[in-house]
Amino acid sequence: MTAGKQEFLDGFRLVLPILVAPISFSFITGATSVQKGLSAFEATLMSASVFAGGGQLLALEVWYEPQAWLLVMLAAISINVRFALQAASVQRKINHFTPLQRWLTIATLTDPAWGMSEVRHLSRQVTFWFISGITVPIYLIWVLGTLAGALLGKLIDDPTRLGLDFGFIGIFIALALPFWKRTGALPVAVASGAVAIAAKLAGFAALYVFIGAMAGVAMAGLMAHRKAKRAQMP
Amino acid sequence: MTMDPYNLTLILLVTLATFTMRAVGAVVMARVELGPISSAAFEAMPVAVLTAVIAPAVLTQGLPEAIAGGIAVLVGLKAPTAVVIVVAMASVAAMRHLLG
Repeated sequence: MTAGKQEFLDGFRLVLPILVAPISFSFITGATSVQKGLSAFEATLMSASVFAGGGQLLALEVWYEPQAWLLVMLAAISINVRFALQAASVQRKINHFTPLQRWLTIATLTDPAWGMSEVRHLSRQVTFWFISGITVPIYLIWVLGTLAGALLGKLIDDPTRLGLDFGFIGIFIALALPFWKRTGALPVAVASGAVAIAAKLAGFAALYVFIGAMAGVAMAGLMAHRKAKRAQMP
Repeated sequence: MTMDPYNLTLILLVTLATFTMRAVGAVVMARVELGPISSAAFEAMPVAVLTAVIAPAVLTQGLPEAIAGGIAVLVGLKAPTAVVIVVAMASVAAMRHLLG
């Protein structure tokens, strides 16, 4: 257990400096949830069970559209599909966990838990306690911060005047910037951004994110295809 | 403590969709080798989705949102996430006040 404790502290020390992001993100998620008509309890329940802020906020955007049951799932899938890639990579590093530990890790996977495990794996074996040291504080903050945002968000009568609705965009910009800086990202971003704007203006109120994202993914596939073809040429 | 069946159903569906993404990665994709084109398409997913959220929100709502989005991107090139969030909210509030 002492070794486990040390591992937990290692993870905790790594996650500590970035906890300000889930604090603000969860508060906005709670405030947005009640603004969209969820009760404080429902907002907190949603954070505890979904545990993925981007997907939650995107789903809330389409909460009252016709066929909302389908649109909320498309929203969650389109933003959370990155977890499939991350889980695939993490799974290969946690084969020595017990099945329960493995499923707990996968079910609560977050961007920081994935990224920090990848880095840890470069120098030593990733343990369940190490990942717990990252995930437990994020989870507690996520649930409690949502509750705080849901309760306090009600007191603000016009959240747009304070720019609270734009905090969500701030988070997405911060998440996107490292990706935008990568080589080859520009055509993908331009394709998905332009098509998403066109789809929104054309009236696809709820589906424009999905349509835009598919255009970006198609662009990436096309670029890879052309690169493969060029490589084949003598 | 209010619980609405409509809200609870949608919360359950979002939970299932999100869990499925995590589980599919661990169960299926950890065993499958992707070809170069499909792996490039998959790797582009985060940037494609994030841009499809950001671009319409910043560029179709009006001048305050466009300016605030631009400021947030510039600040984000150097500053950490928490600062970008605060700057985005503060600048859109200021721009709405000045221009709206």
